[in-house]
Amino acid sequence: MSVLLQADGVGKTFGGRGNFFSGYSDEVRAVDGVNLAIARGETLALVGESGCGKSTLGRLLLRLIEPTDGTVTFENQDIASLSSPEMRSMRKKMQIIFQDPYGSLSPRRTIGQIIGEPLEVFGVVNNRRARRERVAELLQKVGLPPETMDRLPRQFSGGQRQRVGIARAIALNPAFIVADEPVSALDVSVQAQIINLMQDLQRDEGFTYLFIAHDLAIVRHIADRVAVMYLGRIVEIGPKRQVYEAPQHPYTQALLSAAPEPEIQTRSRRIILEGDVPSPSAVPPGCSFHTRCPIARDICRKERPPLAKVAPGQNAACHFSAPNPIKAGIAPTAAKTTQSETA
Amino acid sequence: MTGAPLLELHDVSIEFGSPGRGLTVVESVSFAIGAGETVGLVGESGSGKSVTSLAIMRLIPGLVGRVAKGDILFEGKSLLALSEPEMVDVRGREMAMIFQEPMSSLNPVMSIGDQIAEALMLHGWSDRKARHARAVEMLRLVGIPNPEGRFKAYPHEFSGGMRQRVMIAMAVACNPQLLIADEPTTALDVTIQAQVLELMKKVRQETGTAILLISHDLGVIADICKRVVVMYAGRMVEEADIASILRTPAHPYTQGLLKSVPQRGSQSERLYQIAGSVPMAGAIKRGCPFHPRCPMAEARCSDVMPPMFRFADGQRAACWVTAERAGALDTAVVA
Amino acid sequence: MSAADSTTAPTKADIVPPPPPSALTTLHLMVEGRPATVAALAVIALFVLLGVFAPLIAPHDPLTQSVLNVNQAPSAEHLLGTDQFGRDLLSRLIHGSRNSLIFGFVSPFLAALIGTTLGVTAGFFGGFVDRVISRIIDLLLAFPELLLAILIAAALGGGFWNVVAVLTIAYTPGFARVARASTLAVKEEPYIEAAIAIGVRRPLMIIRHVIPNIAAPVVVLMALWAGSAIRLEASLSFLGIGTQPPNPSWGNIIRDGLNNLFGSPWPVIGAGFLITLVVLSFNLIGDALRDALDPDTKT
Repeated sequence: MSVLLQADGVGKTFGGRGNFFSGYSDEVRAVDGVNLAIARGETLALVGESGCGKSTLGRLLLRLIEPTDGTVTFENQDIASLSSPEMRSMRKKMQIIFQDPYGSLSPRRTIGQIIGEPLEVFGVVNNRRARRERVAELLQKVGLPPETMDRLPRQFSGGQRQRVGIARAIALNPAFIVADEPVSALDVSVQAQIINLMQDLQRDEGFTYLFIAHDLAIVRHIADRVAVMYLGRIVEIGPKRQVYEAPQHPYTQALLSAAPEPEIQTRSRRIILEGDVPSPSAVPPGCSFHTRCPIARDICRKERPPLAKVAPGQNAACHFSAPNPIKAGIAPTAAKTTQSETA
Repeated sequence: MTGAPLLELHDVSIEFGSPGRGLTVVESVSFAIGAGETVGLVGESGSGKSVTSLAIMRLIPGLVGRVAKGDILFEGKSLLALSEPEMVDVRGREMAMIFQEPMSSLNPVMSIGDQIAEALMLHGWSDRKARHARAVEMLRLVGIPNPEGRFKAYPHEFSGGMRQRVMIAMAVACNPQLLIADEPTTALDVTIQAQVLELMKKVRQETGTAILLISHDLGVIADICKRVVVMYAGRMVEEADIASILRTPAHPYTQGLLKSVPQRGSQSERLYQIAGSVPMAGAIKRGCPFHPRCPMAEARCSDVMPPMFRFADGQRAACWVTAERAGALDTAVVA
Repeated sequence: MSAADSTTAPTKADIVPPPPPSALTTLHLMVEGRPATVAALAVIALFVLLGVFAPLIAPHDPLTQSVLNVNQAPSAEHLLGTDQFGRDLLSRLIHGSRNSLIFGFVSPFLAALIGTTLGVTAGFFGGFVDRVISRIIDLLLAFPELLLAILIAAALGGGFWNVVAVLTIAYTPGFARVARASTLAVKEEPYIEAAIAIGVRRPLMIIRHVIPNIAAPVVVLMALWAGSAIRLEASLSFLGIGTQPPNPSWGNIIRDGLNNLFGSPWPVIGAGFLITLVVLSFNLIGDALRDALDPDTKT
């Protein structure tokens, strides 16, 4: 298993630079010191609630946003050090699928022009006719009739537009694809189509995915490994099965237990976190989760727990996770739970 | 269900556009909600679920659309026959509604306490002190910390989850018999959604209000509802208690919807997928609206809309094929 | 099993095909259920024809003076009468429409070209470039357009191209501001990020992804300001710094007519009516265009 992409201490701070015209503005620490390695051919899911920085992290890895600190290494090259033309040609190998199937397609360009643009921009297929042939092939790959290439995005449904977005992303046969909530804007009955398509493409073409999502059921289906983010930091990462079946961080536990699923009475205890996610412009000191954590102690308010190994391949950032030296005397699973009466 | 239901929809069709020539976005929907009952209305975009709820509240502007057929009864009285002033009195006092986007439903330049008090005043609470006390009590009920202090706070000072709590406080302030919640947690994060769902259960327990919960998410519905109505492309396709829906869905659409969501513990490589796209309401005019995407569709499905067949345990579904296999009864024939 | 086989290809019936937008569909959307717009389009078309074929249509030479026929009331020979120099008023109005319309079309068009370039540049690149351009725009916007026009005309003098330049400078900041604001909005659209992600260079990005998506408000503004430009040209001519006599324009026809308003009101009434009619028509067309091009109002 070779590492395709590695992030070392990647962080991003937005704003904070007040000037005469814009006035004072708050500094927002969107992503903070993320270390991450993604293996070739795997699907790493990045989950977390809105504002946790998962989309920002996805864009930092693609250098669609410039990181304020840390390095991103892709195929053993530090992409932050690349010049603008070098970065442009690197984009052939790293692509993104967007959440919004409506906004991510230029409304006045045809499907064929949209999918053909990367081919044209990189001069991969210069001849117009050859390009149309390649677009037809791509349309077929994503399950759209090639005859539709001269139509405009608005003539397609959300699911079909997402297929177009996928065709554009795979046009240059990239190695790495960031999928930023690719199905969350779609109807439930259409989501499975897109998930299956992405999995089929991965099997056939060997893509590596960073799958950003908040829907834990879908992540459980598609991911090999799962990383959980909270307020700009990764609080737990590990193989899917371990994270879902033996989550070590109290936030992961709460997140998993909070997700409503169409099942009957399988879950009698539900962890209801209190309060709201603090603003990323005022991240609590110590463990950033301590304000909502059911098992927080004094140390959590003072010291930030490192992302430490808790099981083979599984790391969690909690003072009280399994093999960590500090024992709370209570197992995290016995945390304050609310009896959820079944309807 | 014992006694007369609180709310009854009888064969309701809703038409948009000009009368007689418009688009029928909801067709022949019938269901009932008993006092204190929690019913889920599930459907995707264009299913007509939100339009149905707006029709119950009579909130569809007359120029845009109208109930073209059928009747909506609240405590046995037709809501459609009420004059607008009478309806204003029903809204808020008898039934209240909360929406997906709490921010757009709250007045940004009025404190939340004043907004709740105003709702109370409109419904006959003439004593200012009593209104204030009630508003504070409601804010406490929905778990707003320091309710007296937050009385004078403005909507922008609250987070999304807190605003939805305020909306719920406002909705239940007049003790309505029915609370209609249209995707109340869709805009919220998972952990906040869990809080709001928990709160809705608590409110139901403490006030005894009936709830009609509208959602695209069967998981959310399964969490708090006893009974579910499934809508697709403007038609009601299935109605059953939640356990039957989850265990033995009778309509192919419900079956597909459940199968296409990854299940806990399922190890299958591929997800079940329903082919094609979700049609607009009223786009499919003949036969069962699901027939173009249905794996079981037969010739008659594209021709005639099936009635709501009665399956075991009070489960009802509009499907020729599954009804025949299950030996279900045609409700129209039975009734 | 390949990916293509395993995913369900949507049938053609899945795709609802409204016609792609073209000049024709836009026109259709503009006039559908709007008789006033149809009338406005007809009025403008009529005046364009009058302007183009003025020498053929006008019954008399607009410049020929006749001392014998001064200030005549309408007659069979002179349908709208004559002015203080005995020139045929109808012919002068027809020829005047030529000057007025040229100003109405040329200045907003040039202003749109320059203003859009400035606005897109400012909006797209931001930072220092934006600050410089925006301050210049703010400065120009601080002057009332008529005052600005008078100042520039005073510096440059009258004459056709000077007047065009005056009007163009007066309208440029408005276009620049609209283009800049639209660019700022478009820049945040996901499809721009998508273009960056597939390696599109900035010049291509502007031409291909920004300009087509900000074109609608600019075109609408052009239509609205065509009317305004005609009005402004009339004002300038009225003040004697627009179209120079003896060449007719609606503005200087009114000016000349004012000298003898009570003796012969026809020049003022005729030219005033035409200005009102054409400006109103352009405004109606602008409104219709705005509605037709707005994707939100499209069904």
